[in-house]
Amino acid sequence: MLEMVRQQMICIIAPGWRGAVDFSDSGDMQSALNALFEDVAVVQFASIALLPARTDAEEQAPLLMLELAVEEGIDPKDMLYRLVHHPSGAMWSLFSSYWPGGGPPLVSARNGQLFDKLIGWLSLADGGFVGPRDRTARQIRKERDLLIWTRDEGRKLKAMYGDDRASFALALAQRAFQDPRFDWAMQPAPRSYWRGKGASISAKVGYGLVVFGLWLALVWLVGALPKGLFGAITWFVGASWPDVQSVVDVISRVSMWIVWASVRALLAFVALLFLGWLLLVALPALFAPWRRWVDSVRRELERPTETWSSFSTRVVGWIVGVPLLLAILACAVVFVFYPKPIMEGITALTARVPGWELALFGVLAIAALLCIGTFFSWINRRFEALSKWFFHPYEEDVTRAQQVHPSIDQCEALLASGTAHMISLTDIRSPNGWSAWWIRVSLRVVTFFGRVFFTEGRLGDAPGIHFGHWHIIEDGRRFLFCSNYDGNFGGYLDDFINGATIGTTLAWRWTTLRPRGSAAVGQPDIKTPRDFPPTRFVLFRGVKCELKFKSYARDSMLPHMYRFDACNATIEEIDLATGLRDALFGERNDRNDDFIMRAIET
Amino acid sequence: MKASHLSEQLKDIQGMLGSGFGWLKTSRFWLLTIKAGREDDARAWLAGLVDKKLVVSAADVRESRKHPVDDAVAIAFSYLGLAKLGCDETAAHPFPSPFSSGMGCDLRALLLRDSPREWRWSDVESGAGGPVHVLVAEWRKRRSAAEMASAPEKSAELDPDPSVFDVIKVDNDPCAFQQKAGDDEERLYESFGFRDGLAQPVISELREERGAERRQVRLDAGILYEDRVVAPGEFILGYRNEYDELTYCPNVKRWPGDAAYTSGRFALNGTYLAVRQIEQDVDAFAKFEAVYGQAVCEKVMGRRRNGKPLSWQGDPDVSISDSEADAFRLRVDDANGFGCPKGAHIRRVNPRDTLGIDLQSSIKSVKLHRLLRRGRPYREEVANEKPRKGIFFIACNADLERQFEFIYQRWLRNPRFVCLLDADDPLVGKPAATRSFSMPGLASGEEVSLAAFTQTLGGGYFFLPGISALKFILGREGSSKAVGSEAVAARAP
Repeated sequence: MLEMVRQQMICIIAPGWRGAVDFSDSGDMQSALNALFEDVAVVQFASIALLPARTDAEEQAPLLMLELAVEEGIDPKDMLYRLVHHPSGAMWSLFSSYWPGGGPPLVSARNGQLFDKLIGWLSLADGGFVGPRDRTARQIRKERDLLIWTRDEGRKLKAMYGDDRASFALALAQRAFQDPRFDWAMQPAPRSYWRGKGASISAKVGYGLVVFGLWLALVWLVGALPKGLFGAITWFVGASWPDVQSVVDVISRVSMWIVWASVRALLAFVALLFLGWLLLVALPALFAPWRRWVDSVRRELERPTETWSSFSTRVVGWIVGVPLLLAILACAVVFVFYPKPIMEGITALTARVPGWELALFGVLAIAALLCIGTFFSWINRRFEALSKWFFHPYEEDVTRAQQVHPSIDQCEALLASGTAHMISLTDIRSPNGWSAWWIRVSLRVVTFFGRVFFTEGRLGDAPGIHFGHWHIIEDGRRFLFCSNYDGNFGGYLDDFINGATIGTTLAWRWTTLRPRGSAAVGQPDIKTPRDFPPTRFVLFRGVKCELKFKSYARDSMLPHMYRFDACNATIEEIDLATGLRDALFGERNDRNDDFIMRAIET
Repeated sequence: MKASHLSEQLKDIQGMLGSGFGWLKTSRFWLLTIKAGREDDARAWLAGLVDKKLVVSAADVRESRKHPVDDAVAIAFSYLGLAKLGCDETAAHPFPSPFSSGMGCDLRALLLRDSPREWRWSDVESGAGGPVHVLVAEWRKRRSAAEMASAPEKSAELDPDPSVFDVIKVDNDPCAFQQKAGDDEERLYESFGFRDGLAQPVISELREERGAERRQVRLDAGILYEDRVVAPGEFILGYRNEYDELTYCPNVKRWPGDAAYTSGRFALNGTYLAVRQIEQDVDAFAKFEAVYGQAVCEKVMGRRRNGKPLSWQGDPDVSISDSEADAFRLRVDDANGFGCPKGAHIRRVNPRDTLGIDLQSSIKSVKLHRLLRRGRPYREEVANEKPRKGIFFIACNADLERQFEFIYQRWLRNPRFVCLLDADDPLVGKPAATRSFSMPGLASGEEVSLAAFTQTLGGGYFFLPGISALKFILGREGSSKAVGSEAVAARAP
């Protein structure tokens, strides 16, 4: 599942680039690459950029990056094969500088060598997010044509149908149905599993339960099969082998232990989820003091305010919150791996203390916590001036903030009317192996959530991402991020800060920016190192430090030299066109009729 | 050094950040290009304005009820203007890229989607002439003819010396303040006849109203009052913004403060002004109104002429306060744009609660993109022609990229704003040959053809410094010192 996402976003990182290719509008390369990507028809976005070499690298020539965002289900090798062996020879023209002598005279041999090299330089995304581009470029184009046609028809029919919405929508649907150009739209819009049939919560829960059930069955079989087979053999032969019997018994016992530990782990997971829901969703919804307390904790973690309230949050959080959390987690671990003491403890406690006393104790503990929080909040409000004076926050200096290299500005300006694009190159913090491992784990988590849960084209609450992908390159030394998104860069980062804090912090917190030269004349360099903003408990703060984060992201950016976009459409346009297709060719009801009417008036 | 408290710095903040000087009904704007070799004279003339105490502070504005302010001046500089007057940014804390590159540069024309331009003036070297170095904004009490005649020097005292500056003067539209039917006092109307100056953000620690008036403003807005309250750092450099971060403060060489801290830097208490001179074709709008009627004109603007929201359900003739007129949301009441169309001018510049995944996140997100408008309608007399009218648009913001440029690029001039199909802003959009405006409705919407109603004549980014920084620029260095909270507190009476 994750592999499918990773395969959609690939980069070819060619080291030691010494080519002299003209990527300008007037040059041949741009039109050749455009024609190539149009012709292979499965590339949605492509870009080329130069990555500056590390200062400690042996090879000081820049690296050439070719970024490809392709359609779902295309194997990267197949993709490269189609590109390299395309009759236009555009890929050879791009990379021919790696064969100073001109390469083999036979085209097939030449392409074979190029293919081998590109496979060696291929980097699958270590993690990524696909917004609305689970559709093919052809689907997006065809649905857009349908949208434009429907709008035009709507204008023509308006005088005839006036305010009769149902008749108007029916007429449009009939005309679309009768038009042979739209026969393809008879089928519901194809979507990937998690955005189609698997989009509902029940499907996701059911899928998880099935996987869990299969796991239990598999583990049970691992224990049961040897036991059964060995029993059958001993019965059939009429002899016994005590040594083998003991091994089989061990396998069987371990298998059953894993089965029950898995069941307990599921129970513990459900209990933790319930607890999280109770504390972070249900109680805040019911009780304002609890809501304020949770808000205060979150604010303290993300943006310390340095007030009495913040101070109390920190103190109580460290004294009560963190030990409580660790104790709960420890209990869960013990329950999974060695439940006996917990079960005995619970039995002894319930035998000694009646249930109402336990419940009362819990309520009193929560009330005491709320009182402490409320008391400090009251002090904070009552003595606002004193609080401001006492906790007057000291600031952190952020140098060279709000600076954008002209080459980056130029790239953004040229894409102001299309899908925006960014390339960010950072260094992975020492020790590289450790940091790279953490990044990989984090990215897999982000990718999983993006694939299964954030299926409405938003990563967290951050809208506008078409393809966003991360690559660990150069043997875990550097970290590359490419994104194709709607909007401008500043707004995009604001979306990350407000909508996808945890994922973005997780992805970038193990990186840093070391000094580096520019990859080419007129491209940005880094003279002064810059650190990723400080994080709290791995997940918090980080990108919430607006000035530091934006400066970090800006300084890490590189301009593209070439860019291909198969269909210039925003996420909202893509979703609207697909929705219109389903509304026109779906059943006639109020919802679909209204969707059609709203779509044609825009 | 600690970060500054806004309340301790009011004397160092130029008055236009505290108020739009609504009680001063006359205004003029001077766009000045300093002639070569006349920098000292330019400084001296500008310093004269400071010496005459015409450059009022936010503290003066706050005290204006007890000690009325009758004349006010604000002085701002373009990046080239600061350089011309010898203020070079430091390597560690340079000015933000949008400001240093200038609104007039070709790159920003692309970024702001208004290429090609035919501007008369800008903040960079261009074919239209030299760059504007200084913007002087002047607000004055309206004086009667007799008062003008008795003290003619009063209106001429600000006239810049043409031997020192190349001057572009943008004059007041004397008809901008009117008392129309239903108005209990004179109110500001822009040239198409719509109420102007509504929907302003309220700087959380710099509220203009005090005491009972403030309570009434809150009462009129009800629970929606907080929608318009924005952190001071969104408009004033050096204070906490909506991210609860101190806004970045650039610094210049020779500034005596401790540059390691925001409060010790040159730009503390300043702001950036995004300025545009927008000419309005009043005749074209009148013709449009004659064809489609007032209701459609109001849909295009997104408000009623008298300032009430289009969704206003009360008696249309009853006067309501500005606070009440601005207290509305769109997400629930008008999600489809049946009242205020999705592409209407005011819905583009301030989408309120409509763009996020829920109401709260939408309001939070919109607060990152607010502008404090301080412009005024203008009128230009042309020989043998009808006078030309327009608006001299001034927007104060602390982060040009996140505020003015974002609004302009992603909302106002975005032809795909909220999924519209190739629809520019109906009022300040590109003057293309065929433009239309769609108005959602039942069963489906209607379309009307638009004319080119406006034309931008010029624009630029300016830095409005704090008063200490202003004195530093003008060579009154004796009075300029590090303006940390302690320093200013010590000077306070």
